[in-house]
Amino acid sequence: MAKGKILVVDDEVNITQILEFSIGAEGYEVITAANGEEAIDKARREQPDLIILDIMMPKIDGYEACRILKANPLTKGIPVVLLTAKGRDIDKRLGYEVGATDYIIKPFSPNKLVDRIHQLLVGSR
Amino acid sequence: MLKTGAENIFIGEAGTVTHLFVLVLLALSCIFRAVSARREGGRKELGALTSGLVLFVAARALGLYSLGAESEGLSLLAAFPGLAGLYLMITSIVSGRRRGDYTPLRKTVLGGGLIAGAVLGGAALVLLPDSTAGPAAVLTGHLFAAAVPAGLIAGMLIDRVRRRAVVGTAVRATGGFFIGAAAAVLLAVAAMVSAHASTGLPGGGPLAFQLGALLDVMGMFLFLTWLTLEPAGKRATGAAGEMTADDCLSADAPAPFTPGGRMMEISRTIVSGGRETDIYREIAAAISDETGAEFVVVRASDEDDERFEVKGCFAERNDSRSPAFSLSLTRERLGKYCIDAGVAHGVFVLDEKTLGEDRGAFVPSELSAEKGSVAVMPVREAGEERAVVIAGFFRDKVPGGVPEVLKAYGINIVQIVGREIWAGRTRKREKELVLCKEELESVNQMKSNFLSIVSHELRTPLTSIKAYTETLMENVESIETDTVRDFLKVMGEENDRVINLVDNILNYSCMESGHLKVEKAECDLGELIKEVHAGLENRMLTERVNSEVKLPRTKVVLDADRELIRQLFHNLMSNAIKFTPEGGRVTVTLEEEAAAARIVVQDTGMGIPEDQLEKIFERFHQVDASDTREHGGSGLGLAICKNIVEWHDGNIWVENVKEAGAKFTVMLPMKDIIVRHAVSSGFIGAVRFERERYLTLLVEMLSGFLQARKASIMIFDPRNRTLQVVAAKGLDPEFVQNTRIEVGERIAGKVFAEEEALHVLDIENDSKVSRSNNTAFYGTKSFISVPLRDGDDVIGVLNVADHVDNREFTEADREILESLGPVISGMVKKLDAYETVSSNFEKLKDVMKSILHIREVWGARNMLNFTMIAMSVARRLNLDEKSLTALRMGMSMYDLGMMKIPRSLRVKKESLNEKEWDKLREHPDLGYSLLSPMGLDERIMRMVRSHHENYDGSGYPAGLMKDEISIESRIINVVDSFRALIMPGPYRRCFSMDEAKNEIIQGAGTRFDPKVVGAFVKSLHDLGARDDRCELVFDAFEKELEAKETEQEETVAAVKEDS
Repeated sequence: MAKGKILVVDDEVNITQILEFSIGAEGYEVITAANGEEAIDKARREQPDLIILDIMMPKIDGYEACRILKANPLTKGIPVVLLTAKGRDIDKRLGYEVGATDYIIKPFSPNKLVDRIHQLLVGSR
Repeated sequence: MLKTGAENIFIGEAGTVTHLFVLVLLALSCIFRAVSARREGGRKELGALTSGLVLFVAARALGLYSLGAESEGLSLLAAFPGLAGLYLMITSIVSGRRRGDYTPLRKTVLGGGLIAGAVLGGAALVLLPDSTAGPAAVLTGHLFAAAVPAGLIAGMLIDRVRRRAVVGTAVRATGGFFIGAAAAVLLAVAAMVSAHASTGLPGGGPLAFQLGALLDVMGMFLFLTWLTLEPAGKRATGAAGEMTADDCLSADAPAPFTPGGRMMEISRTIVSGGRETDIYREIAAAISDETGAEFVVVRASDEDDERFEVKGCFAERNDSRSPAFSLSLTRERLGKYCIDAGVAHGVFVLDEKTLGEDRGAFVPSELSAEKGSVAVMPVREAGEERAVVIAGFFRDKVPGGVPEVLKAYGINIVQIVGREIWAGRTRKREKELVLCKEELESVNQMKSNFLSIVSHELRTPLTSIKAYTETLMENVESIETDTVRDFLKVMGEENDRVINLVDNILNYSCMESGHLKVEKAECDLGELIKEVHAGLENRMLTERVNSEVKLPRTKVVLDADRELIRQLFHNLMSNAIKFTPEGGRVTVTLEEEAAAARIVVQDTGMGIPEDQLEKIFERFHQVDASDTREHGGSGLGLAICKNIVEWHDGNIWVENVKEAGAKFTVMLPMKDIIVRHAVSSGFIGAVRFERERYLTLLVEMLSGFLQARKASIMIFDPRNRTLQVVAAKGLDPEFVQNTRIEVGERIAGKVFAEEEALHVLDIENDSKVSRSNNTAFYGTKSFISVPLRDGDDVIGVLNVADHVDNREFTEADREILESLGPVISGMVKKLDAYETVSSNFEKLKDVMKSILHIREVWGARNMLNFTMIAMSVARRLNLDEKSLTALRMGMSMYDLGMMKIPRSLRVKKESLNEKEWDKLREHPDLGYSLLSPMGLDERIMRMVRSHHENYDGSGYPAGLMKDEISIESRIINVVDSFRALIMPGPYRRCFSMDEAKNEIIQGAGTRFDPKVVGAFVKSLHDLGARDDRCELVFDAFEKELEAKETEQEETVAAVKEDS
C-alpha cells in the first residue's frame, strides 16, 4: 500500500523521471505532468496528497497553477511544494502568496525533498 | 492791392504768420529727416537736405516778404532759390530711399521738370502777350516754380511706365504717391493763381490772391505730410516686401553703401533667436531693397553636405518662398565659378553667357524666361563655404555697388550660419546623449536578461545532474544496472548541455572582443551540413520532427573556419528544430551562386513576429522572454550565427514564410578568388593586405554582376610587354601567379591587341577562336573578353566565363561587362597610386553585399524579367545605346539604398508613421552616396537618386518634375512601381498583372510620364507577359529557356551514355 500519492509537475522530463524514481523508492505513488494545465487537470481527477510544482513552464506557469489549485475547493487542501530555479526572496514571497506550503530551490537534493514530503504528509495527518 | 484783407488769415500779416507756421513745420520735418539720415550715415543726403531746406525756406520767406512789399523784382528773385531748394530736397529724399541704378530715373525727373517748366513758361508768355514786363516776369518765375512739381509728377509717371514695361512689376500705387502728387499739383496751381492775381488781369484781384494763398498753404501742408509719411529710413527698417510708388524713383548711381539700421536689426533678431527661415528671408529682402535686385536667393549647406539648399528668397515678382531650381548647387559647381571668376571669397558676377549650362543652379525655374545677370557671393565660415547669396537682375549687367551690399550683408549671413552650426551641434550632442542613455539602459536590461537566462539555463541541467548523482549514490547497491545506464545517459546529456552553453558564452565573448582566432581552410559545405544534420538526428526523432537536406550535385567549397561554420549550421538547425512542432519539417538547402554560397534553413513553426525579425540576431534576445516560454536557450545562438557570418563577410537574414514558419538565409561569399601577389611593388603590410582585399572585391563584383563562375582582371605590364592576371575567381592559383600572355597571343592577348571585345557563344564552333584553346578552362562553352579601357588607352582585359545558370552569355552581358570597364580601371588606378582605399573599400563591400541582396529579395527570375521590360520600354522610346547599357546596369542597382534601410521599415510600408516614412524616403540618397566612390556613369547615378521622382513633382527626394527627371529614371519609376505591385507585400496580396497594369495607367500624367506608360503597356504586350503566382512570366522567353534546358539535358544524357 502506497504511503500517499504525489503529483510531480515539471517540463523537464529528466526532472520528473528522477523524482518519480526517488520518491517512488520511498513507497509513494507518483504521477507526473509536464505543464500547468495538465497539472490542474490531474490534481482535480487524481486528488494527490501533495503536489511538487515547477514554476517556469509553458502555457500556465507554476504560480498561476498554484493560484488556480488553491481557488478550487476540490484541490484547495492539497499542499503544494514549489520546486524552482528562481531563488530570489521576491520569488519565494510570491510563491507563499499564491498559497504554496513550501519552496525548494533548484538544484535540490532528492533525499532532502523526500524528507520534506514525509514531514509535510505526516504533519497534515 | 495786396493789402485788401489785413485781417485775412492767408495774406497780410496774419497770412504771413500762417505761412511762417507752415514753413516752420516744414523746416522741423526736414530737420527730423536730416537727423535720421545722419544716423544712418547718409552724409551726402544730409548736405543736400540742409542746403535744399535753407534755400527753400529762404525763398518762401522772400516771396512772402515780396508780396507784402509789393515788390515784383523780389518776388521774381525768390522764385529761383525756391526752385533750386525744392529740387535739392526732392532728390535727396529720393536718393535716401533707394540706392543702386537710379541715374535714368533721376534724369527723367530733372529733364521732365525742365521741359515741363519751359513749355509752361513759354505757353504763359504766348498766352499773355499784353501783360506788363513786371507781372510777366513774376508769372514766368512762378511758372518755373510750378514746373518743378509738375515735372516731378511727369517723371514719376514716365518711370513707372518704363519700369512696368521692363520688369513687369505691378504698379503698387499707395497713398504716398497721391499725396506727393497732389502737393505738387496744389503748389503749381497756387503759384499760377498767385501770379495771375498779381498781374491785375481780369479774374485777378484780392479774391484770386486769397485763393492762391489758400492753395499754397494746402500744397505745403500736403508736401509736409508727404515728407513725414515717407521718412528717409523707412524702407531700410520697414517690413520687407512693401513697395511704394516712389520705389521707382531714381537715385544717384552707386551711392557708397554704408551698413545701416536694417543690418543691426537683423543682427538683433539673430541674437535674440529669431527663426532661421525668417532671417534668411529678411536678409534676402534687405539685399533686394538695397540693390534693386529682381530676386535674391540665399542658399546654405549643412556641415559635410555637398549641396546648398534654398534658405531664403525674395523676388519682386512673386513672393515665392521656396523657388525651385532645376539643377542643384553643389560645392563642386560653385567651386568651378570661384576659380573661373578668379575669386575665392569675394563676389563674382555671371551673365547669360557665363551662366551657360549651369543657369538652372542660379536662376529659379519660374524666372527661367527672363534674361539677365547674377551676382554671386559665397560665404565662408570656419574655412568652408557654408552659404551662397545670389542676387539676380533682369539686365545685361549687374549694377555697380552691388558687391559692397552683398559683402556687408555677408556679415549677417556668417552670423546666422554660425548660430545654426552651433545649434545643430548642440542638437546632435543632445541626441547623442539621449542615444547614449538609451544604450546604457538597454545594456543594463541586457545584463539582467543575461543573468536570468543564464541562471535558468545553467540551473536546469545542473539540477538534473545533481539529482541524478545523488540518487545514484544513495541507491548504489540496490539500483538495477539498466536504470544506472539510463541515469548516466541523462547525466551525460545534461552535462553536454552545460558545456554547450558555456561554449556559446565564451565564443560569443571572444567574437565580441575580437579575440577569436579564425582558421580558414577549405571546407565542403555540403559535407558539413550532412555532419551537423546527422548529429541532430536523435533529437529530431524524439521531438518527432521531419527533416530534409537539399544539396547541389557539385561540391560547394568555401575558404572558411570549419568549426565556426559547423557551429553556425548547428545553431540554425537546432533553432529550427526547437521551434518546429511535432510532425513539422525542417528543410536545409544549399545552393551555389556566382559569388556566394546560399544556405537556407526553413522550419514549419509559428514564425517570428514581424517587429522582431531583426532583433532576434541581438544577443540575449528571445522572442518570448516570459516565464511561460516554451523554449529555453541562452539567447546567444543567433547572435553567434550573425557574428560567424560576419567574420566570413557574409550576410544573414530571416523572413517569415507565407504558409508557416521562419526561413533563415545565409549568404557566404565564395572565396575562390586569387590575387596575384604584388611581388615587385612597394606594397607592404596593411597596404598590401588592403590591395588584395580590394582586388578580391573587384573580381567578386565582376562575377556577381555577370553571374559568372570564372572571372579575371588582366593588366598590361609595360616592363615586359605582357598581360598578367592581377586577380581572378575560379581559376587555378598556379595559372594566376605564373601566366603571362604576350600581346596578340591567345584570346586575352588578341582582345588587348585588337581593342575589340570578344563574345563567344560556343567555343567549339566559333570561327574566331582556334580549337587549341583550353575549353575546360572556360567551364561552359560561352565566354566574354573585353578590353579594359582607361579613357582612350587600353590597359588590360576583363574576362568572364562559365555562367552559373549554365547558359550562354548574352549580348546584354557583354554590354554590362564593357560598361564595368571604366569603373574597374578607375579603381585599379587608385590602387596603383597607393591611395588608401579603406573608406572606399568599406563602401564597395557594402555595395557588393547589397547588390547580391537585391537579387535575392527580388528573385533572379524577376530581376531578369523586369530588366527586360525596362529595356523594351527604352527601345520603344528610341533611347541610345549608352542609355540602354546604363539602364541595364542601373536595374540591378537603383534600389541599393533600400537595402540599407532597416528591414522592419522596408516590409511594413502600410503602417509607417511620418518619421519612419522620412527615413524610408532617404533610400535614394543613401544609395547614391554608397555608389558615389565607384565612378559610375552619370545616368546610373541619376537613376539611383531619382527613381522615386514623380512626373508631377510629387516624388522624392528633390521633387523634380517632367523633364527635370532623366528619362531612365522615369522608366525605372514605372517599372519599379509595377514590380512592387506584382510582388506580394507583407500585409498585402500581390496584384494580378492586369490590376497592376491598370494602376500604372491610372498614374499616367500624374505620377508617371504618359509617354513612358504608353511604351510600357505596349512592351508588356509585346513580351507576352502574364502573371504566375506573384511572379511575372514572359511566354516567348519561357519557351526559349525551356528549349535550351531540354537541349542541355539531352547533352548531359548523351555524355552519360558515352561514359
